[in-house]
Amino acid sequence: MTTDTIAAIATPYGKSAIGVIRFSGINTYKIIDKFIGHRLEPRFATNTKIVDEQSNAIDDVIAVYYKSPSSYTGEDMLEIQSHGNPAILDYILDCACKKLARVSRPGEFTERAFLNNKIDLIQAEAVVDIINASNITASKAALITLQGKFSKDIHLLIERVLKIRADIEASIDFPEDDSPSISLKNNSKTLNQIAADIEALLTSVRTGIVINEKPTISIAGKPNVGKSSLANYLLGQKGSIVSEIPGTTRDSLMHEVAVDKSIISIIDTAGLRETDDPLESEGIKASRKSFAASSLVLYMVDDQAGFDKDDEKLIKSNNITNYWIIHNKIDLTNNKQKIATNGKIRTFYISLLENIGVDLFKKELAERNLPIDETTGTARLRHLQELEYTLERLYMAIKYNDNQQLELVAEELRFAHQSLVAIVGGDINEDLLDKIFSDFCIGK
Amino acid sequence: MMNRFDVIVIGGGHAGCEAAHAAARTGVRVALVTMKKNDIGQMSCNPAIGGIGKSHLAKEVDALDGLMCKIADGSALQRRKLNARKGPAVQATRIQTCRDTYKSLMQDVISKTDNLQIIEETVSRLIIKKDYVNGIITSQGIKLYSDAVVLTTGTFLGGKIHIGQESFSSGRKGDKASNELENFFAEYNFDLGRLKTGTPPRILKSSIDYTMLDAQGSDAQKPCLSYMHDHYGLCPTSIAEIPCHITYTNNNTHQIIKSSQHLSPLFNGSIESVGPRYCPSIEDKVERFIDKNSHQVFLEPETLSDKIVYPNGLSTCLPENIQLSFLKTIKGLEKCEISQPGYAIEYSYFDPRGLTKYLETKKIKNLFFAGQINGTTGYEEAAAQGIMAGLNASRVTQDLEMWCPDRDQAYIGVMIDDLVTLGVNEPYRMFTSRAEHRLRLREDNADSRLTEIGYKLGMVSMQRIKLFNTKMNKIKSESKRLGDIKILPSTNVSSFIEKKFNLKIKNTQTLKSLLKMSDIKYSDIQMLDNFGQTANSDIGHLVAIEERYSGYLKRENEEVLKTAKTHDVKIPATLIYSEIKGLSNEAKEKLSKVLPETLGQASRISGITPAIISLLRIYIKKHSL
Repeated sequence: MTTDTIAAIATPYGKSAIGVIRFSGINTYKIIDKFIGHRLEPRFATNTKIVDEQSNAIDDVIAVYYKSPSSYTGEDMLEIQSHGNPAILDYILDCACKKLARVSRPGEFTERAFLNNKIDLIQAEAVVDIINASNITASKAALITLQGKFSKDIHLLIERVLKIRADIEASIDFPEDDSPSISLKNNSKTLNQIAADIEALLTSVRTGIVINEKPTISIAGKPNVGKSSLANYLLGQKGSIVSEIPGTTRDSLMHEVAVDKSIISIIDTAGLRETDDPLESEGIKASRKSFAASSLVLYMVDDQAGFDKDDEKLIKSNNITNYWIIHNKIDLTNNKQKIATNGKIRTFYISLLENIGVDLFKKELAERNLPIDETTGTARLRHLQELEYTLERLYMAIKYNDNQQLELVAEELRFAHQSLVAIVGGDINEDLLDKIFSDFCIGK
Repeated sequence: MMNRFDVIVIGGGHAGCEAAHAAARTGVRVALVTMKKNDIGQMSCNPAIGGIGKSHLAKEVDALDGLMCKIADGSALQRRKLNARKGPAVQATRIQTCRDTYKSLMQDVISKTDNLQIIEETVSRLIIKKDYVNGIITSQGIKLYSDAVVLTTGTFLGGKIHIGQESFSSGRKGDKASNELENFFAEYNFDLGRLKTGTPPRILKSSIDYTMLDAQGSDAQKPCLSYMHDHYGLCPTSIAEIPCHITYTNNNTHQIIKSSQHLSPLFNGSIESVGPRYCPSIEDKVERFIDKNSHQVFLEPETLSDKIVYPNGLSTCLPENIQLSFLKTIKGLEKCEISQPGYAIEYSYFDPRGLTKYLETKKIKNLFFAGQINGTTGYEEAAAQGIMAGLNASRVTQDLEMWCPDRDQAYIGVMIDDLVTLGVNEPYRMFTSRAEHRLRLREDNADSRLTEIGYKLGMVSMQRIKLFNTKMNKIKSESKRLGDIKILPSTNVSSFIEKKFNLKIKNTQTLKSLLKMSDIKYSDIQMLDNFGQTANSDIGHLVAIEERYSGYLKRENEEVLKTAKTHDVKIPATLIYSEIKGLSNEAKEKLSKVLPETLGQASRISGITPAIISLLRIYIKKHSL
């Protein structure tokens, strides 16, 4: 049996009537004891209050306890149905994950079910698919939450932790080289500053300001292929100016649209071409930024011209990597509506003017962006948990620094660094050595 | 000449000596084959053993009754404790040795070892039978047979020396390279890479003016490397006390080097292979750290007779006349004479991901690689691999299970796991920051981590295990004694402590629990009225170190347990990664290259995510492998 307890929000993230949180593992009983406060009859739905660590009521919920081995995973499990408000779900999960559980990896409940012989061999294939699929949505979810300021903040924090680690580690491993002289006072100052900034970041993450939970999609293409028409179609009203003159949209315009159940940010970008018009080249710069921030680019062409060498060049020169191709205006070429798939690239033939193939396209777009298992909320909570862990380690580091135990400070900082890097990915060991050898001339 | 052995060790450097001696200690018949008998135990680079990370490795070799530390202690010219003020886990010992004494002591031990025969020959091929190594063929065509072979050829494999515009094939200055052997391994498709290392010019001591230079002698405590000397009380023969001196490069030095960069093979394209970032040549330092107008140079004595000096920090492969002219700009070296110019050496190494953690090659059974041919650098790194390769070669010939320490057991385990899991992209050297269990893997406790295991493996002598057990018993009884002496709040003793250390004793403490507090040392509690009598004060500091880290290590244990179950899952050798559905091609390629033995090892390969580990675990279970 595994020794740690996992937790996740099991329902898609967003406002809905109910939301479900699941827990699995040996601490399940402790979680019930602490946050529900009374015994639960196994396999009975109980209407109860759930409270936080200070015993303040969070919500009225239905709680179901499954005793090992009679549960989905084969471990002790708890299922909580609360109101579907993301803030409530987050708070419940956040409370429980402080000490007793950790946010699960995608597909981990099913994985445990398999490892505990709750799923037979034939179903095992499906487990692999679930892990793969949820992994894709998870990375997508993580990508979404990591866009923009949050990601930048994390990278800056990593830089700062890496810097002080490099100083301390260099002074430990290379005391006779020109490694920095470590001052406990400076360490303390730096560590306290980093901790304060993480506190501030945590507050803003908790209140949902920083993390972007919506996928962002850009619309790109040469001028006058119908980019703004597509944006307007998705938006359901006129947002961009649509005209016959190429180059009407000079700036990138961001809209928030609902495509089926998913909320998506659509960026309508300026037409792509080499230009001398200073105003427009500013617009193209903005477009490139949008592409970089998008999880998908919808690259549009006029079907009359087709997808040509120039389009290929533009895709390359603007660093567009993940894209679909939309052939618009098939009403003028008499091509049929269709979808073609070539690896990651999908190609759609539509006419926005005559409304041909557009619904099908919209459906595909919605499916692509509908979270399956891993929700953006779970991804966000995992980040939150890593940040809290980082903070805990930093405070320990500060304490040891006050005690003049440098080797323990170094140890705590390694853990802090590791959990920050876990948010965005990377290799802490190689980064550390790189930093040491680029900052200090080592080599007695 | 006898032509049948259990284990043949090729090479007589630091890896080869430990390998041959370790195998012989376990009772099998060993041949050490070397090109030059008289070069056994040669220190080709700087004349020192130990240093941070390195003394940790060396002491582990010693805890397994290896040779390096005992011999270094016996040839010491200067002994220092590094990081003395930074906490016991990161303290290290370094010994400047007499190169000649070290070599002759080593040759003495090797030649007098039972079961060990030295053979002076150049090896040109191995004898292979059905994927098993079966012996060697010398360049004279002589065949020597054995059940296992350990290859420790250092920089001799395809070695090429560069000095200025000159370059020639050589294993070490003045020695020929092993080119035939390199060709042999190319035939067997071993993954070969090229690395580079360098050495500074040597200077005649008589030509140095020391009057203006700072001297650095031994520490007051004169630490030793071997437990036999430091912890078990058997004194080494002290041979002499010769200090190092410190001087600095300056702008004139850098000017000469800069204006000659085009003559350095490092910058004119002659050398393409990668050198270590932590041991750059002076050309590199000047180029990369433009802002620094001075680099320090340690003038280290090379031998007891004290004729030659090793200027540590001045590794270079500039032409000899330029070496001399930049040396002459340095304080104290104005009139110096070079006895041997510095040079860079390029050599071949085998991708260590082609090895198991027992250092056996995956391509040819019973063949072991140790030392620089695995892409490492340093005497201590070589010795540590040598002792493991020698042990496992011996065990495989006896059909015994092979052994390698884990990452939480020894730096040896950290190094070998790094090598076989991650491979190398520059010469690998040990740093304490590589060890995630740094607080556990200390200089003071290598014996308590390894000596008993070494004894069970048959490589530790009866004499040593007795001394070791005595020490452990003393630690145990002193630890218990201190745990039994209570300190109650509001007593004379407690108020004395409160005053002296500026803290408040609220609950009942013991002398032992006091040692957990950061600034309380064993010598501090010795001064307390209720300290009592003990015959074990000599090991008191060891009890204190253990206490200092105990809380931390307990927490670490709990963390380790969380992932233990997954990490301990064995991956069967028969697993074919290309058949696993859902793995990316990149993951398949990486895993197939390393063939990790456990999920824990797999998880340490760069780019292998928790999701991939999940997939592997499911696949293994699904196929009941």
